[in-house]
Amino acid sequence: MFKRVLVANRGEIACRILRTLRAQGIASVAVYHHEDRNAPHLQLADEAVRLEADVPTAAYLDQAQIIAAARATQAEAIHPGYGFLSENAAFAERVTLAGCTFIGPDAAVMRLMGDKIRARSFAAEQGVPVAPSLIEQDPARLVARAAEVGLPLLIKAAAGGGGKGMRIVRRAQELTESVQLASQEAQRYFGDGRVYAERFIERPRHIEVQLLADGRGNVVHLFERECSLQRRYQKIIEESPAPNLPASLRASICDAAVRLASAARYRNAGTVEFMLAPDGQFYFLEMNTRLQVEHPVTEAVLRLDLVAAQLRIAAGGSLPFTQADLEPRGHAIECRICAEEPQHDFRPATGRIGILRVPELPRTRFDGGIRAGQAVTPAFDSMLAKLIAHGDSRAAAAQTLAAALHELVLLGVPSNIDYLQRVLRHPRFLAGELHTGFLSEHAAQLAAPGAPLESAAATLAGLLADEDFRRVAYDVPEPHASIGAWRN
Amino acid sequence: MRILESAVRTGDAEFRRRYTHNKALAQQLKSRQQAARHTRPARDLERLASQGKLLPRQRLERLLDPGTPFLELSSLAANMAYGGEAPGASCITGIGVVAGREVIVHADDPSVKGGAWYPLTIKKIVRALDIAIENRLPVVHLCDSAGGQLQLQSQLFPDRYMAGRIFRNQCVLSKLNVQQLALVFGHCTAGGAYVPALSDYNVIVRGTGAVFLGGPPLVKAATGEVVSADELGGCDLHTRRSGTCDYPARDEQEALEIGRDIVAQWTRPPKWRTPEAAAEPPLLDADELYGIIPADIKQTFDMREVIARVVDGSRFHEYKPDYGTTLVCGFAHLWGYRVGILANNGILFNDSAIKGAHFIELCNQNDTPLLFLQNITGYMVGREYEAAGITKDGAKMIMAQTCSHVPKLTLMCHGSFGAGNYGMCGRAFDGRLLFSWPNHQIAVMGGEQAAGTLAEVKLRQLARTGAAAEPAAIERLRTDTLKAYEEQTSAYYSTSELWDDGILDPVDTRNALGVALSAAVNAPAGIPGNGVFRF
Amino acid sequence: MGYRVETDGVKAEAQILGRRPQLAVRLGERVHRVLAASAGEGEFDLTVDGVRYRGWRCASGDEVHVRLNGRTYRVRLERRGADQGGASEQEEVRASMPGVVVAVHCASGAHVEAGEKLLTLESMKLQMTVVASHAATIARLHVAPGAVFERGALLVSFAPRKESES
Repeated sequence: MFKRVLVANRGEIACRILRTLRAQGIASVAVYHHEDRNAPHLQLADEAVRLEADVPTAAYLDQAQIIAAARATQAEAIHPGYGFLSENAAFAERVTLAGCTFIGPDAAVMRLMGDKIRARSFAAEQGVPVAPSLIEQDPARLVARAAEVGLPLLIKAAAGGGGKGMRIVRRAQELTESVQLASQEAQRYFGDGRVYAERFIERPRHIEVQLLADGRGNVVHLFERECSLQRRYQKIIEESPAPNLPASLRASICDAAVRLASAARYRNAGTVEFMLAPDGQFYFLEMNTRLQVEHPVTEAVLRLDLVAAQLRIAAGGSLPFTQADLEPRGHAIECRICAEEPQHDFRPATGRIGILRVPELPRTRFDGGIRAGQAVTPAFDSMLAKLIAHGDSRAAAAQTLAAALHELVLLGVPSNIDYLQRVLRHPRFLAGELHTGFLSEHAAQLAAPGAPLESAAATLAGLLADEDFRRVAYDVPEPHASIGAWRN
Repeated sequence: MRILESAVRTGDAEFRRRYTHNKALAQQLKSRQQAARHTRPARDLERLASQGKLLPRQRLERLLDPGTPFLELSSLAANMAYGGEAPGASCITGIGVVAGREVIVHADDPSVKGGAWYPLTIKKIVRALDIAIENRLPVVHLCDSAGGQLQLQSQLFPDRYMAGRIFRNQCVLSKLNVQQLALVFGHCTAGGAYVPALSDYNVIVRGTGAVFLGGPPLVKAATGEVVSADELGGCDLHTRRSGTCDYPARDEQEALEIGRDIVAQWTRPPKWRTPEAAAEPPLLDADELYGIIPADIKQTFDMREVIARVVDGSRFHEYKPDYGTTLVCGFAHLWGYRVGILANNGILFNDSAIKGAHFIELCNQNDTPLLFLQNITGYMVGREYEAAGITKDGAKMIMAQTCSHVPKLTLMCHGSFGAGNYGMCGRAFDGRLLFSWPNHQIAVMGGEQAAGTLAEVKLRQLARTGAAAEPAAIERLRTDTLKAYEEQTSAYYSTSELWDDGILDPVDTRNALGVALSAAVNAPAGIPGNGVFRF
Repeated sequence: MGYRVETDGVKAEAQILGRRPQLAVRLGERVHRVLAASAGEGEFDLTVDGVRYRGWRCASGDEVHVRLNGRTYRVRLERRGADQGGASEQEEVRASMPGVVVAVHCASGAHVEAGEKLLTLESMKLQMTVVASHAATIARLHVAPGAVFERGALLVSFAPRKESES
């Protein structure tokens, strides 16, 4: 096992990884940009190395500095978390070349799965269902052949993800322009303008399968997660298991994922994402060769620590369990708490976290990378924390999570906490009628409720926080205060 | 302290008759005040609106702390002067609370003749500043005046207590470390320019505020220079170049906000006295006062009935109850403050005069403010009483009262005639505040008495010359005298001339005296000591 | 003085009516009796019209964010701008004391916004920066770096502004 590990990330995932390192008695190194100098992840590490960069996010993308930090601190391994360099094959290679272990799969697989077009082909070769699609280098030919797939079409970036460079085309006359714009956007965001077209599935569900592989051909799946509740193509509520999923379908999906990972000779943790159509057909979307944001729901139903498993595998160990050992129990739901204003189209917000009080309810888990007094700036992603609840049933988990959100106090920067509560209490959510358009479909009902009864009390609480108002209210002497508003 | 019991029977005919009469007087007071405060020619209101100005009472309401009392002084000043063209004497004065601080407010009223200063305006402002000095109350001036009323200049400029006294008072206040703030909303011309200049702080509104010793017309007449009011003495000139003004404000609202913030910075020195007990409302209803006050000026009533409806818990500790019974003396609490009350239950005799003098001494010994409730037709006259030394005894009471070092408040509850006014702290005796009820009358002697005396004098005169006394002429003399007296003895005449600080609706007495007392105890007590008592 | 307050987009006027026996505040159309108990940092304990409310509040810019019974409210007190009387529009910049021009940050004919740097001057071993008091167009720069000037010297002229309707 490693004696010292460097965590090349920040925020909640860095804190989460560092917690496991500490629990395992492994020395830890954190890296940070000056903007993050008061961030909680520094406190959770045994030592911290400052990275220099003009733009804060650039620091966490600076491969040379990070590797140098690992060498300087004699860290034996680097955990990349998610985002940043976690799916950067070149970085994985450089780490290895530098004599460190990259906690994740090898570079070749990262490259394969990072190229969406190659990944699709590979999946199809393994008998994993893929959505009818069109791979054409030439945009004009892409447009011409669109009819082969049929409308509606989804134009996607080959090198992309996270919803960028994606466009839905419903009418043939929009096709040429959409392909052009998608390609330009892909070029801008990913430096690669290649696009491909896929049949667009209406009201799809996003189902993904967590995998662990030891690199020696042993792959286990850790069952599925449902991540259909998205806004701006980003997940905000995830759960495991997926509700209302027939056992046979679950089995097919999970087996398909294992098949893919096996064929790729995958090592360490990864997730295969699928689109599930209303007719029961499922199609490969992509594979993420890293730990995902929503991994805690899997950990909750399987009662295990994925990061610990990652460390073990990266250190050369075998899988800590067999497929038969894995028995999911109950239901877990996670929600992502983001600094944004749902009522203004989820516009990201900034501010300073004045008050943070995390409730300590049983069977809940709060994964945050924030502390009271911390500034929330546009420098970093708007996700502040995750709140996870586990219950014996889906309804119980939803109720526990909503209750935890109710008790959570995070003030100073606008957030989606109240919005998330409304989603968790929505009857259609509770019925499990999920699809990726859920939040748009029910947007009107999920928007803020009408003037609530307690608005007056809240307003008065706000007014009394103002020093000037307080002075006028309380600083009037007697007998004037008792005489009141009298005129002669 | 004993709870006063009332002997009043609210059901009986006399009570109801008096009630109707006094209620009507109160109603009349309210209507006259309403008219004086709010009735203005539309032209003047339009002019102010077009200048983007707030009305002075709007400025006042925004200046004062919300939900606090404002004791307005002399609302009906000049109501019987200048043909009624200057209601309120074109200014508003009073005691209010700003940023938790008791202050005197003086606001020019530009809706009355552009806020011009009449002789009675000057008298009212000087009085407000005298009150500020005597009670150590900070002052907020809301300046907006066209300047002195030139046609009446001889009555407002040259003498000791005329316009100059305003500025003299400002300096004295400043020397006493009592703060003054001026908010310049309009013009401050000639002498008026000294109001902001002599204030410790001032704020000026851009566009409408201007301060200059000579306005544009005067400048043009004097030197031929043509210049606008703003160029001559506006906001930018005075806040950036001359330094005459401290804070620029982009509009009246901002000026008021800045003003409140300035007052909030002022330290509050400790008061000479603080309430000794928690305040309690009286047990008896003040509304019954309407039924207690007689309709006839010659009639008396038991002042204890008034005291019971004004003081805390209707509790009163009567001093020397069996001696000098025409003067009720005793201690009570008013809004928690202990006060010594002297109240007339008839004319003053030797014993009541000496009792009064002694009680005043006790209050001075006890650091207790004095409250005089007047209903006095005078001292007893006649040979027996002169022989007993009524003049000396009256003099002792006047000496004790005048030499008091504790604050004094006076309320004219009914009549105030002759020398009785003196002993009971009339206007000349430096009470901190003096109020009257609408039924109040004041004169050197009663109208009937005066008419009778003059008729008698005329008859004797005619008898000496041997001329015949024409009954009709004598009767005319009588009625003419009565008529003149009727006009000049009324509370409205008195208040018009600023012989009092305002007429109160009897039911407002407790609140008014509470604000007054709280204001009065801001000042340290005077120097103890008496002159010579003629024993 | 009334307070204009906006809670989650709903505006109301708050006015203190009285203080005894409890603080009475009119909010919009209704009058509320308020009793505030002391609470910890960030916490509040209010009884409004006899009902007890406990929660958290924290200032954020010109808003107060209030967390009450599982809901977050954003309360904004409307404040007048801290304009200190509003800038009056001057058409020229003159030197308030003698000195030398260290640097020029603008050019003739350029449009500048309020707060933009115009010149850096040095007097009495102290450097000062002159900024534009309002948005304007520079008609003429009367000095160049290195220029020595007296008190009252004309440094910058602005183009006259057109009368705007207000």
